[in-house]
Amino acid sequence: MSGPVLSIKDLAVSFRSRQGAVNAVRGVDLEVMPGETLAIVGESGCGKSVTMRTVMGLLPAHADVRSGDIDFRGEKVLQQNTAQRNRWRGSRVGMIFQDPLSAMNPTMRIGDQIAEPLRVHRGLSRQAAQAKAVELLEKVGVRDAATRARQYPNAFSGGMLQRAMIAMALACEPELLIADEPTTALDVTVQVQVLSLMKALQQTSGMAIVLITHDLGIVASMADRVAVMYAGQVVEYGPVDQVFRDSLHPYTRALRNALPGMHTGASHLPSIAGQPPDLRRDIAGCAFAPRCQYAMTACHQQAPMRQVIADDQQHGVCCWLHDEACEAGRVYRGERT
Amino acid sequence: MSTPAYPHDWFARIPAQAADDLPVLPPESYWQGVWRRLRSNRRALVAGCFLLLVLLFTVFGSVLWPVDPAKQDPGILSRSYVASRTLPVAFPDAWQVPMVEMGEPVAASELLAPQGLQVVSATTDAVRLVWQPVAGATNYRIYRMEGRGKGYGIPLAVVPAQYTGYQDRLDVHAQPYRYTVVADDGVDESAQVASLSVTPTAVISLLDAQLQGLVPEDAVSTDREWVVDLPSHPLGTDSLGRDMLARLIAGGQTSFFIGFGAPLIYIFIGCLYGAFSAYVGGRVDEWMMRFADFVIALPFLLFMILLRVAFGIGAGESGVAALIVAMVLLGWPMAARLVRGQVLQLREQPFVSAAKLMGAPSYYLVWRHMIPNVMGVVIVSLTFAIPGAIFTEAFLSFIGMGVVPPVPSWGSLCNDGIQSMLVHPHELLYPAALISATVLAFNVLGDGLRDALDINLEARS
Amino acid sequence: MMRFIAGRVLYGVFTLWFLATATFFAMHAVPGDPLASEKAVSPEIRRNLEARYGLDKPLLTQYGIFIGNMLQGDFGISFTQKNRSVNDIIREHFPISAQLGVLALLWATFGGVVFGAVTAYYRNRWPDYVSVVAVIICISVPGFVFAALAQLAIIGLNEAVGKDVLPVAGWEAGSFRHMLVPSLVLGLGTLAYLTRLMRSSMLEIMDADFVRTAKAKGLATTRIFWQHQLRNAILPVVTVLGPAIAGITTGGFVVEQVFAIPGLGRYFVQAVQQLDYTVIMGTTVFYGAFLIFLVMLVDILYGLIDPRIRLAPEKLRQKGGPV
Repeated sequence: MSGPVLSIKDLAVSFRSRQGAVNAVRGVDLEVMPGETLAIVGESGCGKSVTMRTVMGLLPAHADVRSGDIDFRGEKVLQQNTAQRNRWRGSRVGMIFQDPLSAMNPTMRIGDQIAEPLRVHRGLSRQAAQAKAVELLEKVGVRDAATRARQYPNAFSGGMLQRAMIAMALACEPELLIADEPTTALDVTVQVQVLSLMKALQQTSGMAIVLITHDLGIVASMADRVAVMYAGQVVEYGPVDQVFRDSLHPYTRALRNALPGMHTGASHLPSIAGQPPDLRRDIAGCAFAPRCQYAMTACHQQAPMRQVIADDQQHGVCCWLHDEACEAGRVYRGERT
Repeated sequence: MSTPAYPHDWFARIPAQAADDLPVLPPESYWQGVWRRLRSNRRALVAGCFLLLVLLFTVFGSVLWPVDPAKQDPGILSRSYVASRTLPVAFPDAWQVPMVEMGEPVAASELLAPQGLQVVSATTDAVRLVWQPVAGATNYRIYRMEGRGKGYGIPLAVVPAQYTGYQDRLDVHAQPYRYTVVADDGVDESAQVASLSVTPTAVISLLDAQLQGLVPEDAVSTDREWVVDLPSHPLGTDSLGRDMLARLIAGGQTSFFIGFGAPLIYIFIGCLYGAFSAYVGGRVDEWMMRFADFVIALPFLLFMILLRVAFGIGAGESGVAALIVAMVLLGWPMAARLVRGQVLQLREQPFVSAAKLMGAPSYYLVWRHMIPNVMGVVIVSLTFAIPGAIFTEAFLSFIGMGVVPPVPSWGSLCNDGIQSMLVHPHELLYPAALISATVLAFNVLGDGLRDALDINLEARS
Repeated sequence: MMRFIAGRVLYGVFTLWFLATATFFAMHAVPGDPLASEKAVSPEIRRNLEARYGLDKPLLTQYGIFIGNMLQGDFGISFTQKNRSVNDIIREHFPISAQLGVLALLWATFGGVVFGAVTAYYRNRWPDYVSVVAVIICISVPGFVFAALAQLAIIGLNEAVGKDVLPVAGWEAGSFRHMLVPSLVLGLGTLAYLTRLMRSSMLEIMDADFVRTAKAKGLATTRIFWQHQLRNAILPVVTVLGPAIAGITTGGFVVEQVFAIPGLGRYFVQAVQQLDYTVIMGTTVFYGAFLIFLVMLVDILYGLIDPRIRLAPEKLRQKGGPV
């Protein structure tokens, strides 16, 4: 199948709160191609999780989808009700979450929880679903799977639980797996195991993965493409190596520089000055402008348009510095000194 | 490619603004924040004001309404409202019911109605009736109807035929009555009756007046006209003619004394126990908490009753002390648990470790970090313990295991009131409403306080 | 699991022993030793008592006799009611209390779970507001006030209809009409408490991560409710079932009194008021044993439902309840 698995166009989501509406997602465009891994990075609160939860219909009651269009293989997600979504949710799209211990039902056996989507979506019998669940547990590297399947989540370690979560999400062999910070709550050594497991499973099944993270190291090792989000918008996207090597947006550069490298030493941990903007307010220009060391009048007045830079149309950025008429942009890009 | 026309300084550099323009909230201390959050909770505020009023009512009520709650007035039992009034004192006099010589019983074919039925005197002390004899009568039956109802009303007496008068002293009030006198021949009543309506004038009998100390013991009717002033009873009287308002005030004092006294003591003890247990730790802590759990698991009210019976009540005791001791014996472990949990949790908090690392002395740790943080849960548990204690007192007094009569409490007032609930609902209504409203207000205030003390709740919403 | 159950049973036996001992010494602590005083005790009963309790023997021997009798299930004879043993009283009147209590508990638990879940689903809409207000009122009004109000309501109803729809008071064996209102009144406070508990736990569960996971698995709303939400939300309700049973049992003292129902609670209160010491001791120990047994059952039930408790039983007692 060609064409994107998932395409999101101009998505805007806001939350009602006592102090007014919080515009958590302010016009996001994304496409996920079959078999690829797309990483979404950004600080916490930038809207990356909200975007993917909108896809899955997991927004809390006080959230409103203001505009946008989400298409998953012809399913017009935003126009669907819960019953219609449940035809593909959990079977053709799987999702795993940050904290596996709280994301698992504490009063249900692991095996039953893994078997549940099989019984609901595939109509398997209890025994067949259980057998399949044990098989899945083995596949994700849980030893003594038959015993483990009869245990409750509190008997599992964090890494084991995340493996079980993956088994649960992949039970119906989905085309798309959404992983919402899957390793944030885990030890570093376990992180590597879980990530390599995901990668291995992707190679055998050919599914697409959307990986939400704020860890650039994980992005570099896992993803094919990356989308950088800031204050509810995608500010830069493209193939991982291009985005990291030739970062176009000042925010991406700042993020990259904030990585404690081998050579910077412990004496100085670089950070980005300032705070993300208050999303309850209307933001006239570029959301990053108040923190941007290259900010210009334009950046405060009007939001920049998306500029596609690379020849193969893959690498894009939203920044005035890349406007043709911007002289300063040439200096920024190093074309002039 | 056409380039849009931009203003000339469109791409002029603007230095990065490090400072954010987010409004900075004025600094406030923890307790200032608690007070602000509590004030913004309208329900809790109303509840607090109501409680203040009820407290003022019970504490200063007896000053503003200096009526003895134990004083009985048999003249006005179970009234819902009594206005203040001035009454003449009715001295007992030697009124004789008129008699006639009985001749041979005449076998009359039909008994006639008594002729000449009239009222000799009509006061709330006694209504006196006389009538002419009826030929052939064996007895006279006297009936009394309240107001203007149909029929004869309640039968008052059967008078032998030699008497041609009757004195009604059965709970007479200053309201219209209709008396009916019927002759009977020993078997059947006559169909011919005599009736008259009368409204007795209000008086107070000498005995009542003397019992209430309004008239000296040696008062003589010939001295002068005796008149006494009687106080009003705005909330009526109970079944012994005691002033309800005064009893509600006195009952509130008992209920609040127990309601505040017991929880204050047992929460204090619980705090010490819990803090000590957490401080010592290890084996001792484990056993101390096991004991606390054990006491919590005991059936509370059953033990309350048991202890209350065991303490017994000697002569002249009110039973209040026994109640408080029993509540303290059973109530402390909840607070102990709570405080221990808080202290253990706090000890692991980074800010306490940080203070320790900076070399803060232990009294500073306790004073600056432990007490303010434990204070919150203690206050909340206190606001919930007070209505609990009031409830327990009411329950025990209701089953007769609380305070001893004549000491009133809201619970015992309810117990008194429920006997006559169907006829005189006000006797139950007032104390029941006071208990319910007070406990309700405490619960609402407690909810508000709990929310106000939770600093994270605001951040979450 | 067996170890867990054995632990609970041992704990229950210990509590019961403590209760019996406390009862014994409490009765002996009563000022003016009622067992030695002669009033209201006929010589016949007196002799019987002396023989049975060894009143002339030292306290410890008496205690031994008392415990021995209790172990044999012999609670002694009544002080005030001639020829009536405490066992007779319990046998005759406890079933009535039990019927009333079970019915009240059913109202309270089913009502509490259903109302709590419903109001949580209608959070911040009118059914929620109504129930929150109703709950706090029901928690704040003493049971005897509700009992009195219910009686007034029955009288009003009967007058309005023109015949006795419901009895104002009294008891007939097996008559549901006589049980209906008293059991509702008895269960009301617990119902309100459980509703509140269920509502808050349901609200917590509705936002829980594992419910989000269940949604992401594409489960239907009804399946999520039954399989994932209800079972977890009901856990706190199960923890307070023990205290709730205790509350209903003691609440029965009042309700039986007001509605003139010849249950054990009424006799217990009567005995307490008349200082009928043998009946007090017997019924206290009986009630204690009954409550301790039920609380133990609830604990074990809780251990079966929540796998976390079996690993850490001390968690069980950390939640408070009504009473």
